[in-house]
Amino acid sequence: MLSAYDDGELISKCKQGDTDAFGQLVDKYQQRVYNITFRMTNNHEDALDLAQESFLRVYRALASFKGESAFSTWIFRIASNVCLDKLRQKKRQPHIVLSMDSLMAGEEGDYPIEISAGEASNPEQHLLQGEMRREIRQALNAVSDEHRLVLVLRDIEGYSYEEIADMVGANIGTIKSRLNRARLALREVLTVREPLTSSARLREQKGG
Amino acid sequence: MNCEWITEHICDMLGGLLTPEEHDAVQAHLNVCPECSFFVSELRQDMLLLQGLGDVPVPVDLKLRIAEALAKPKPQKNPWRFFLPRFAPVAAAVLISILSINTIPGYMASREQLTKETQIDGAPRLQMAAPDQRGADPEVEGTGNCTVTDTINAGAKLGAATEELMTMSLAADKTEPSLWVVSSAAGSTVLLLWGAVVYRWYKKV
Ligand SMILES: [Zn+2]
Repeated sequence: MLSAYDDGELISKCKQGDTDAFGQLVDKYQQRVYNITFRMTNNHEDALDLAQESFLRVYRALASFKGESAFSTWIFRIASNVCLDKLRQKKRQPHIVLSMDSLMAGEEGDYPIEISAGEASNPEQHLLQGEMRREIRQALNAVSDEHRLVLVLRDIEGYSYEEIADMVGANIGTIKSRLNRARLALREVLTVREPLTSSARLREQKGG
Repeated sequence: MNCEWITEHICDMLGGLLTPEEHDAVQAHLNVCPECSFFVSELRQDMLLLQGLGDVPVPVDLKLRIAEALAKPKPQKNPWRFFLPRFAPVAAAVLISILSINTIPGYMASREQLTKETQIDGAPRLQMAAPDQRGADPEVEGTGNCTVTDTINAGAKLGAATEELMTMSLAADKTEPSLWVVSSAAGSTVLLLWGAVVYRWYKKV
């Protein structure tokens, strides 16, 4: 899976029409791109479409990539824009309810729940963990697209403020205040929806 | 340090970006303010939950679908494909112009022979015809951005003007038109009419 070439070599190969080289770039970045498209849409169908669209846009725009920012940042910027464009487009068509199916479906669609080691050692905790994760995913889905994007990029994916500023096309100060408002908005959704869950249960779980 | 300040600086607080002084002040406030203390702990837990979401399994078809999309030839958005077959009549119109230039000299020559009897030099006639040419050209240019009906009207008007010009030339020796006026007006008329037809066609497609 891991490519023997670095991004620069792969990019110049792609520019010469080498689709295998592009396949290697896809291998390298598909996980992180898919994380963004899935977290932004909360359903696999849209996430797959958007991830595909992102990579195709990357391929078509490779000639214009001059390396002012890191290639990874550039890819994630394209993926972010693809997501925001699509979400705006969907909002203009009110009869399409985005990710209704995923709200009905279980955790992460049909995929098994991943639990990080040490956090949920018994079935009860496993269930609780799953419930809280579903809750936070739904809350994430309820905040605005711009707020969700910074939450995904910063809190889920862990990119630095500098990287996010580059991806979103805003300065660090703007990103910080947006992230601030996003976290407050998320908290508000969680408080309104399930005042007793999430933090209360997590505390209980951690204490016990 | 107050509750508002805490709310406004959550990002820096949770990101560990406070100065030591700010950090101490926040701690002091949290120790005495249960609301803020609870709120900050909730936000911390939200962050932990978000961090815990982790990677989403990538569907295996993603790479396949990308490869398929890249293998497919790009849909050509070539405007020439639309206009090329329609260039034949345009070429015909140009041909008409050229032909008219080549055929009218014969007619002009015969007229010149007639007029030579009354006039010694052909130059004054050409000079007289020049204003007509200037009058006709802006009309041709002016129709560039108009609607279909405008274009057709202008084309018809131009056609009528050409006809008039030719009748005038036949009627009076003094107003005999220049060769270029007649041929370019005839060619432009055909071009404009065809332009209107193509434009309408384009709108429909
Ligand atoms: Zn307070």
